[in-house]
Amino acid sequence: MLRTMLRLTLLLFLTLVGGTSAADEMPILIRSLPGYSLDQANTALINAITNHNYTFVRQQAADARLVPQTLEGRKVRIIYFCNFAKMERALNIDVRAAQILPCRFTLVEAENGSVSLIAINPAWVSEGLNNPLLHPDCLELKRDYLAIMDEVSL
Amino acid sequence: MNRAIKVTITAAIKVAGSLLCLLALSLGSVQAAPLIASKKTDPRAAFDDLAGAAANHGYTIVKLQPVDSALTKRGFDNPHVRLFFIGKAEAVREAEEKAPLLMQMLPLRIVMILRKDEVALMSDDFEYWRQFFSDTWSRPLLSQWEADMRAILADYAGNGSPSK
Repeated sequence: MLRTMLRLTLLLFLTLVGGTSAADEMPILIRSLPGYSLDQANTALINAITNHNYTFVRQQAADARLVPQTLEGRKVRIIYFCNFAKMERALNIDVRAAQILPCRFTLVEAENGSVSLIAINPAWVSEGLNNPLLHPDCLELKRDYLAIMDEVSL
Repeated sequence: MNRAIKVTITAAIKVAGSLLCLLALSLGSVQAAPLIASKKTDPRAAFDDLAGAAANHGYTIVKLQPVDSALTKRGFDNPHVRLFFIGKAEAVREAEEKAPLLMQMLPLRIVMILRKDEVALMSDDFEYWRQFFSDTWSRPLLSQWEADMRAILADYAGNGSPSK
């Protein structure tokens, strides 16, 4: 059974690899959050993450632990989150999936006070990894990201 | 699902994934590969060596994410992977001023892969990022970070340059 699965998988890979040389995905997913302060967006984002069956892990400034805490930047906030079952599955398929782990959103406040929600598109990273076994999981992760972003922005 | 079947399928996916990963790298597609450095050591010594190597090049470890223990304590398989994030204040300031979207890459990630008596470190794929962020401001930053990472991994490995 193991051999058969391997053969089928390799066949699938060799079939697909010829047609996956160019990236179709955009690198960055972004939503503007009109009417939100950074703190409001932060709260709404963590709620949405939880609503979509992910666990909030931590948040930090972009320069956390690089400068004294009182001098940390206040305009950029990084939010890490995770679904442990999905993480295990992805790492079992390809350890390079660690390049998109843990899941992350970044909230950025512009000079005019407007707030944006930004993420690296996991499906874009996956295209670079070029592993057809991993890609469906990354597409699903992208859908989850977009659903979370939509919940916050709509 | 019967546990034996589940274990077999998981093992098959793991093996196939590893093979596909190797094949993807060896086929030399347009995508590049992450930098990798490996040596025979134990995890504690590897952490010390990584911290030292990062400091030698002006970087600080800002976070350790023990993915292995996070998963095992929840009853999942041990992936033998830990994540490290390293940074330096100048890199953050430069990215904020010149190429804000590249903030998504900071702090820089290093994946530590634990294998028996060997510990490998793997970076993100800077060349892949450069293919998409090729503007005047982004490209030099990505090249600088890649050069820093290459130096840190070479320092860790204690030899010439990390493999790619």
